Amino acid sequence: MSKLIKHIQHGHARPIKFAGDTWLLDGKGCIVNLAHQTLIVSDLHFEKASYLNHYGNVLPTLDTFDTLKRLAELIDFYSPQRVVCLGDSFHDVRALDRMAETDLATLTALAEQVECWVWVQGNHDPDLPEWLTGDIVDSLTLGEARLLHEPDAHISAPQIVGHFHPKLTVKTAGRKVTGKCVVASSSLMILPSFGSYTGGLGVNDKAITSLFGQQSVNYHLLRKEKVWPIKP
Amino acid sequence: MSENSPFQQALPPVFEDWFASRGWQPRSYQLKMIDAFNGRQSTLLIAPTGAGKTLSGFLPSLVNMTLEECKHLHTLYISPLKALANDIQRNLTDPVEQMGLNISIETRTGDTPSHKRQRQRRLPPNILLTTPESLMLMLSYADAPRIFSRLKCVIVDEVHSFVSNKRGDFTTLALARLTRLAGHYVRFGLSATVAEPQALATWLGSKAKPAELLIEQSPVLPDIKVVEPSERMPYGGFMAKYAVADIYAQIKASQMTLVFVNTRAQVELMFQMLWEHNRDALPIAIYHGSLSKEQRHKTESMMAKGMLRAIVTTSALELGIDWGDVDVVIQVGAPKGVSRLLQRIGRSNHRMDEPSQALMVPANRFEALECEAAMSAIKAQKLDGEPGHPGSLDIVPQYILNCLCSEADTPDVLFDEIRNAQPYFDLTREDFDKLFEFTENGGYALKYYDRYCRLSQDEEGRYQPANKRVIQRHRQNIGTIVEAGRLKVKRLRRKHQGQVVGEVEEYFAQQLVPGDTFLFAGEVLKFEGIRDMFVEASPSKGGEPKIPSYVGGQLPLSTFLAEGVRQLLNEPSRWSSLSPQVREWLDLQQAFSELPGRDSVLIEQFPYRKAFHTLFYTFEGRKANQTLGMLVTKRMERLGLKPLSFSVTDYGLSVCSLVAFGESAIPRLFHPDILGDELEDWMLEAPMLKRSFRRVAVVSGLTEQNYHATRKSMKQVTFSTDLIYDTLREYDPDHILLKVARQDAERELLDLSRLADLLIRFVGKVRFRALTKVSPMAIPIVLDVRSEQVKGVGVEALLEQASLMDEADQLMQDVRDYLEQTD
Repeated sequence: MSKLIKHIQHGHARPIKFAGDTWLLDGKGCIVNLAHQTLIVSDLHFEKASYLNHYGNVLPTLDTFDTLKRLAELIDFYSPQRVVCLGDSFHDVRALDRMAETDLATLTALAEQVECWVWVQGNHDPDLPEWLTGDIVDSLTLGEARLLHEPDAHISAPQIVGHFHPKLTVKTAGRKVTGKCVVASSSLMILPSFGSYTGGLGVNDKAITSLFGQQSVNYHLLRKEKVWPIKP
Repeated sequence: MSENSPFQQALPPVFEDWFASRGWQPRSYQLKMIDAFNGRQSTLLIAPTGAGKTLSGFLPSLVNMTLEECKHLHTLYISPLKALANDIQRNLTDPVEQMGLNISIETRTGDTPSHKRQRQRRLPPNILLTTPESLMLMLSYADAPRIFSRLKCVIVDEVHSFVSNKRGDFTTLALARLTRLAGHYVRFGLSATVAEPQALATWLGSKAKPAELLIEQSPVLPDIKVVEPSERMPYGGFMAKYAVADIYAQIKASQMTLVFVNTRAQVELMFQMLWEHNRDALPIAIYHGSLSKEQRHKTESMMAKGMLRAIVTTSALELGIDWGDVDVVIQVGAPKGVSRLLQRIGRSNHRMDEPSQALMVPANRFEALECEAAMSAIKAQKLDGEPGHPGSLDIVPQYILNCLCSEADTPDVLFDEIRNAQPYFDLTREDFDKLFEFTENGGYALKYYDRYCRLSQDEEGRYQPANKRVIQRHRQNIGTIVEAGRLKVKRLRRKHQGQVVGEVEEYFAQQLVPGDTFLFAGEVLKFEGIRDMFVEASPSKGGEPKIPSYVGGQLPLSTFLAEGVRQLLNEPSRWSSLSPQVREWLDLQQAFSELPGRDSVLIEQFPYRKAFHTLFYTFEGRKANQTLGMLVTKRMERLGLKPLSFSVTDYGLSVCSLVAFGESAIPRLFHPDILGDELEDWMLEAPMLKRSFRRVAVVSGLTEQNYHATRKSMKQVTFSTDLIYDTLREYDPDHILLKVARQDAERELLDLSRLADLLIRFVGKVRFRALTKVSPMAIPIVLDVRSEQVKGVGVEALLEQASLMDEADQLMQDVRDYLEQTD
């Protein structure tokens, strides 16, 4: 277990309090609830490249492969009992049909390896097929927190969501550093996108700021596998 | 051959009458061009501006169409600028109408409305004036063979601006395609005076035969003066302020003056300074590429009507646009190259037998040396030239797809066709095959994926685009120049309402906070915000404006001129022509330190503002110095010498460090082996190669430049090429696009060959001077504010400062507690 302490001491993960629990934000783009042995990633966007291929781009279709590889590394490191994919796991409704057999086999093996695998449905993947390994839900509760793809104003419990792909640019001493980031207030946490070819939306975009209103917000920049808490 | 008689017989009477009616005589080289046309001899005409060059190019075609009735596209004119094509149409339509010739002349550029483009494909004019991009688009249509099959002549204007760049490569490919469609046609090139005319002739010609050269010397040398300032000349920076009174006096004394500066930002600054000085309220205008079309058109027409007394501008007015009678050209700041200077000076006085008038205003004392070196070169009729380079490979996939959009073809045929374009004479089959494979399916190494194919193959082995979407996407993305993202600037009158006055680079807009002011289109604007892809700004008074900084503003100093400056420094006998202020500065340098020699590199080290500065006087231009700076600081980091930042000018590199390291470290820093280890390290560091990969990805058609209209879809489609770069580097390191990106980076960003030359030439030949304070010659360099911070551990240190590490300890305890529970 000292492995985890070292991981944190080296800045690769960072504990924060949210909804009464301690969570680890990992520099590689997932969060982990230690008490519930749960690892959460969001916006995997499998098969984004092959989707864009059909618009005439000849992008390398390596994104699914790479995303799976990185996800497997995290699961291997944390050995969670439960993995939650927080929506938009598949870039479009036909993504599964296009997925290479080898990638699908990797995904299935990965899902079977953990006790419980949960697919939260998102706007890109609203109708996941039943044969997919894992539970398919629209939201779930973990401790005091609700996990869903997009925030819902009608829910009073603290929410953990994806959807927005937040990214942060830090300007200091005339330099600019940009990276994916976790945005969190006391009642809402937005996870960054995990998929290899996913872009980001600046945290100062109205779509994100309007969610928090006057609440105080913390940013955690993820850069080169490290987490940096940043003053707003 | 004698000068006149044998040719004039060939000129139809209507032309002779026209010349006579204007009191002109056809010039001998104009007649020689007709001769060349009749002999189907491709020819490069090099003549000074004001020599009737444009007419010379078109005269043979006009004559030919007068003699033989023509109902098809006869002559294609390719211009580097849209504005130039429009201008030529005006200038050509006049004589054609005056002679009553039945010849249709039309332009086709990105601005041409679509109904007109449709009609042009059905019914092409006799003479079509276009740009390389529009031509490529026409060549991608299935009816291209019909449109171009009877083409007789192609005129490439301003040939010198096409050589050694991607747009030029692209143009030669179009020329090769036209040969395939039209068989043999005559290629005419028009160019200003250049250093290596033969290289241009080879570029223009076909593989079988370079173009013939027809050189018309300027009978008179331009009359160039350097300003005799009434005030003190500054040591460094762009500080032309000292000479504003002199510049203004010159404008006042002339009818029409063009004021050239080197960057768009300087245009704004210069204009502002002149306007503050403009007590007589002279009509002075501003013109550069970032201003809106309407703004530019307004200035153009005012100039044509003779309503202006001066225009402050950049290279945007450098090429052969001819709107009025300019009597003086003022060059503010260093000319950066002799050919460029001549081109600019040529804007004045379009009568070739009178000298052009020009005034040079060096912006600091170092530039005074450069001006002097340039003037000596012009007197000696020596020019600098850019070396040629092999064709850019990222254009090849674009070209392959372009051909296949027009008609199905085999790789073998396309390979031969491409090798007919001069920059691609030496293209290897191996590279071609990889590029073809990339065009077809991306050419990725991972075999077990179903590959998406952009191309499909028929029974005869010919390839064509797999579907309409591929064709459409390709046509939307034709072109080679990838511009930095730009935002339109809206000058607000009311809330969110106002007029678009131009464009700024996206990164510039992003660093503005509401309330910031900047100079744009000649006035100070206050930044309000970015809304719907517009930068909204309102007119403002007072306040220190931030000046727009534009990408691509810095012109590299030509090697030739750098050498000229170095020579000048070593020949004190020539200093008499320098102004007393500059001489005094050189004397001081000699007394305090020494002058940079021709056979060694001078390195000075001195304390300045609590740090140590080490100055390398390389005279190799900004790009090479930038590279040297990155490599030297990298090596310094490795040696534990703690570099902080560096700054570059065309003349030298200044490295700032916390400690003085003395002479003993120099051989390890200034050594060719930094091109090995450090370069490799540095190249692999993402930003550099990623930047060029971004361009290569767009040019080669991997990702797109044109997004379909709305902002929302832009967010979805915008695809960071950095991510693709990372995955390719990891899983497919031999991919052809990585190779192309690397080549591109080495050539365009680094100026490696120049740097390598320098390091090899001067290894062990260093003059080191440890000084107690800044030397006179160092002042212009250390004063340059655009210093580059050294990357490396620095970023993490900065993030540490910016981050909140305080409450982490408590939470850490939570984790420990949890782990103890579970153990």
